[in-house]
Amino acid sequence: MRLNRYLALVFLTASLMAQDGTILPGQRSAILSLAQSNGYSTKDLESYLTESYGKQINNLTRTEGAEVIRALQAGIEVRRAPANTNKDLETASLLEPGMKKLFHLRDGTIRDGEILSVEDDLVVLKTASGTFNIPSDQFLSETADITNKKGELFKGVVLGETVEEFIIRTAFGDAIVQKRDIRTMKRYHGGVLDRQYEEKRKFYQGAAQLIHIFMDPTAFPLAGNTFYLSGLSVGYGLTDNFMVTTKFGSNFSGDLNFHPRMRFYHRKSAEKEVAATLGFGLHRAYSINSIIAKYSHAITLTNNESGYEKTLEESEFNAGDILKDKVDNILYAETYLVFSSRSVNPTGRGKMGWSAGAKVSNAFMNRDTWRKDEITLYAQETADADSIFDISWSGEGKYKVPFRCWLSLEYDLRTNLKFVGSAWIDNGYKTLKLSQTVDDYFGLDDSPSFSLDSPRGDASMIDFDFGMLYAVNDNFRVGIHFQQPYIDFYWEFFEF
Amino acid sequence: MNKILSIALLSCAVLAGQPTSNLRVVRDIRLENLKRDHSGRSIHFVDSNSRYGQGVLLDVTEKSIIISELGSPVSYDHSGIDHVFVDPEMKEMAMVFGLGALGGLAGYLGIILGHSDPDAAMKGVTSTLGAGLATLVGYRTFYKPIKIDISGRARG
Repeated sequence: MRLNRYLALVFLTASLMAQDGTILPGQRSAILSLAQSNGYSTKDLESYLTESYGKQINNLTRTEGAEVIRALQAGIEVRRAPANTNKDLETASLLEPGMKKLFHLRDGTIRDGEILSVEDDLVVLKTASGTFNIPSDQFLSETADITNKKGELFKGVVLGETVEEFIIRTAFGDAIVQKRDIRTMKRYHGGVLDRQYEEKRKFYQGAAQLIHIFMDPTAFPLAGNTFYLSGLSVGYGLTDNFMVTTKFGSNFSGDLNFHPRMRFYHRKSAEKEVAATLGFGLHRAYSINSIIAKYSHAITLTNNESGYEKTLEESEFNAGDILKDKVDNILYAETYLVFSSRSVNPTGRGKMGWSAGAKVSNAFMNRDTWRKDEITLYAQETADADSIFDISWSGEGKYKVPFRCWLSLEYDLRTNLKFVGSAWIDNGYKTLKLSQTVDDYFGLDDSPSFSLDSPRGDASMIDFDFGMLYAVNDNFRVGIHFQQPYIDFYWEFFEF
Repeated sequence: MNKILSIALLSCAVLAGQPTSNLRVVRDIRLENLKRDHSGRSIHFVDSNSRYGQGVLLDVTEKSIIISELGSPVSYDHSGIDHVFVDPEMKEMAMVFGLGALGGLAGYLGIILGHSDPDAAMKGVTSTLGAGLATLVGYRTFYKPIKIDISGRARG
């Protein structure tokens, strides 16, 4: 068992580490070979890599290596002038009074202000720190390459930027690109790619658009034609408003299941996105044992002599002990409604959002038909005489219907790091230790593998959790938090 | 000589006109987007004469925004309008009530789980508080006019 755990840990660590390591030797050879066959010198290639990625070939990641190979195969022109010196930096071609943004200057400084006037090549720039008279040739040009979600590519001078749009002057006219439609963007100051600014100063697209926070869904489904794979389920975005997932661990143990999710309301601007979604889940043979285990704190055992009461959770019995001998697994259905909002952080950096939802299921239908009427605790198991307990479901109102309500929060700490938290009210929630969760996931507790349905744990019906989610690359996310399943990881493959 | 002078003057005029003509282009694109995305929806705005216009957007022409006010089409010159607000509708209201109901439910469920024997008054108070708070959040989240920029300004 211990060996299994170590193997699982090693496998998990290896797969995490393998996500975006340094460039492979094969990729390096391919790049050099392609560059040579296309007639580029080593200097041309170095210059291109420095301008495009800010690093040399040996420091590229695998993803970047693949990008360079694709670019070379597509015949993209990589021959450029040697690395820009300060003198070669492009000067701003358009400066007009009223322009208000971050201005990058030739000496490497950045000023956030408004141009008051432009006279005789002298620009009067007003900032919060004072008013400056700066020669116009000191302002660097600001250009961008923007690809929108339709695949259109715009290249040109950034004329301006509002909270919703980029205004680009292309060679054939001006274009307004909605920020919400931007898929990728490269921004250049003075003709040099500004990766640091791009990645750290502002977010134009969240690195991680969450479709769930921990185990609870948000109202934002997968984008259309996106494939999803996590440690528990696989899914696909059929349209931008409809997706399906299935829990493969349950499927392999005979419980075929299907979880569609439909977003029926959606409004989006560059600053804010709100949505409401209705979801369903259907399992054709849901384990009754799992239901009994999950709600063991709602099952009362009454000693028929002393009248002493305790719950199944507090007793010496397991969930299976109180089940009748021949009980078929049930058709299980659940439905939920969730509202979500995600908006730009008032600081201008990143986004924050919340989701609130409620879920109910039919897990308690016919629940009295599954259990035995009584159970005996034999004397050899205790020092006392045999004890007979009557078994019944709790009659309290809180156990009439299985439910869960949740409120989840997400907050961008960086482009690739989110803080996530959640609080819930759930009459069937049980908190598990890490070791119990690992046993549960790998099926070491006799429950199906690759699913979370442990019969163990302590009831904790009002609870919360928080943690971090890290975007390793465009496709892979990994997170850690402090309740089961403790570790989240999933892949999203766009345009699959 | 006249030719050279004419060409020079023309060139200067073209160069000087660049920023302005392109701002016009920006505005035209935004007006087209407004017509495409929001025709048939209720909007409101204040024009350059401080006239308040509110109605269903019917059309956006080169010079005017045409809205239906009390069933009659009314035209407003959009040259002095920089922003138009698209008003929330019934479905936004439904979202507010939906979230309010969810809040009320959460308040009720929270008290029956968190308290051993809540009486009707406690259930009523927590449900009302939950519903009120969620309705307030829902109102601020869902029931807010969308601000549409139709100015020619190319800056934030």
